[in-house]
Amino acid sequence: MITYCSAVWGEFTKFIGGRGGLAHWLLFGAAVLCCLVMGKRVRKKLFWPSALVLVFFFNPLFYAYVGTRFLSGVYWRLLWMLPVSFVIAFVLTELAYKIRKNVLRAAAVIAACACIIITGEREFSAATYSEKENAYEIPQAAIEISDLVMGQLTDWKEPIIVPNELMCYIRQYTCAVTPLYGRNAEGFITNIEPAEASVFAEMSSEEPDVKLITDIAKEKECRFIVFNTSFHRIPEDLTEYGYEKIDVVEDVYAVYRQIGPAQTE
Amino acid sequence: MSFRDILFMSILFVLLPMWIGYFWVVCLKLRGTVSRLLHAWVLGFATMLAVAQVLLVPLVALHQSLTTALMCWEAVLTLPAAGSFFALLVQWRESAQTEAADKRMRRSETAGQGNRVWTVIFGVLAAILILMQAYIPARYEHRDDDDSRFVSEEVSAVVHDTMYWDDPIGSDQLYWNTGEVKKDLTSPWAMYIAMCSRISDIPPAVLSHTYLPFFLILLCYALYLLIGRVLCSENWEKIFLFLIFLSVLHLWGYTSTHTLASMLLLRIWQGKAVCASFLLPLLFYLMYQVMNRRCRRGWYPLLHVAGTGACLLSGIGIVTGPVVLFLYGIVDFIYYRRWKKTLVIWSAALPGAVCLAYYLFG
Repeated sequence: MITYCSAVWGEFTKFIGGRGGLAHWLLFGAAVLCCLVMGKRVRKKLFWPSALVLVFFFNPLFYAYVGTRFLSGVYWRLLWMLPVSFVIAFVLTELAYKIRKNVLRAAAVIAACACIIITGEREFSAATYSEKENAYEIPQAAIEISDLVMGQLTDWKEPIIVPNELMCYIRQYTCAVTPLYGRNAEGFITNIEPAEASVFAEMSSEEPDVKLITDIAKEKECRFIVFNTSFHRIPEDLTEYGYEKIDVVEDVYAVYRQIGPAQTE
Repeated sequence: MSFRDILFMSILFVLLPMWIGYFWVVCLKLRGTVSRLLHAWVLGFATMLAVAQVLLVPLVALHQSLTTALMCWEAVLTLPAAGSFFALLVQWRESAQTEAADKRMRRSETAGQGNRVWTVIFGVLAAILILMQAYIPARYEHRDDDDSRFVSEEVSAVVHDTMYWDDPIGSDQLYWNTGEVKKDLTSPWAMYIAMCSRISDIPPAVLSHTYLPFFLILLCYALYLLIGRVLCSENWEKIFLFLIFLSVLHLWGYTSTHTLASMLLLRIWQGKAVCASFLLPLLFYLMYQVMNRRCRRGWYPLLHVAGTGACLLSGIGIVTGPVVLFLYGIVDFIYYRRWKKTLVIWSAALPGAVCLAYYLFG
């Protein structure tokens, strides 16, 4: 039982983001308690539903029988059922209106906002948003590489190998180009084959085994390989491995094509 | 952003939901221009989601094409749209009676119970904060790895005219009942976006990353304003202050990538984020209405509509929708001891329960 209790607590801290999120949750706890004394209407709409959701979430038996079996890894999502921001915003509004003088009330509102700002983390920052490279809001290199190889592929199921930072974006632009592996290399959606896992491991390394990659690529009928030359330390000429450089995108992405098999250009 | 795309998006995500939602406005006999518009928008969008869920699940299971799904969806949506038109005609006839009530409501909407100057100040501040939250995600770029599944599925559906037929990564034929994509049969939000992409001719990635955040964040705040109206007893000064606090909480709520604020402002185009930011708050709002002693019966079917719409968005909508209805149903029963009402509330969880049963045992 203690294991389940600590696991539920772990899900909770994962959701709030550890100590960083504690202040807003303490504010929520205080706001919920305020709702208890704010009259029947508020108790009915905000206090009891919040209390029930919390009981539901922190119930170790529920976690043991339902959480671990059906909500494994995403149990914290149940906390979306808590009207956290609505409760805090409503209680702060009501408290502000307990102050009769307009100027004092405005000062209280500013102080409350300042408390939220100081104890919180900015949602819009350089860490979360950046200048967009294109309307698709994916790396421009993914678009340029796709456009480059698209017309040369035999069909839309022919795989290509791309650096790890691009593997999630190619198919968001076009389904005419298929990476050999994508986010499944990190354990999502479907399982990855051992050969693909080997290529992924090599592409994750600064000094990839080019022979291994090109051998598997040939085996998988993968005629295009893209390396990030600012990360991968590889020989510039890959003709000895059966691949030739056809273009360089954004000065760092070297696109290689297999020498020999008939081209469809 | 092009004018053409904005026009299409305005029709798909504002005008069409408002037109469809007007049916509910008339059924619920809502008064006041602002109240009607906001209710029509929010309830109309929820209706569109529910209709899509009812149609898409069997069509995906039957391996139908995206075009077929789109045609069916458009055909079925004409029913509530025609209902709205009929309701509008009826209301015109009764306009003389309602005019006086409307005038009263308008007066209370514009003046409220608060101080006029502070109402205007808070209103302007709230509007600036909300527009900023809608504009930044549309103007700037946020990358999320989950899109490699959802947006890829949308691209594949639009280009190949299929629904969940190929692996969003490897392009192997996958069918809807294989791997993690099995979840998508009961929550085909990606196909909803694919249908919007097909109608508007905007590529799914552009639609999801540039246009959806702007329209969906505004839609969410329209709903939050309605919640504020209920909680703050229609005092506009308080409602605007409520929205200011809510905006500040969201803008500084990035304590983890899992919080509601992060869902709303970082990846609102994904089904689970729409579930957390729109559908669950909509269920709260509907329950606030239903939990009144003198509640209009028109609110009950809306619980079913929202319960069905929650399933479309995400697997977590299938779980949390019924749980919210169950818990609020208990609260309502404790207060009013009316079994029939509680059973009606719980019955709205049935679509979710059916999807969950498939999800777990199918």
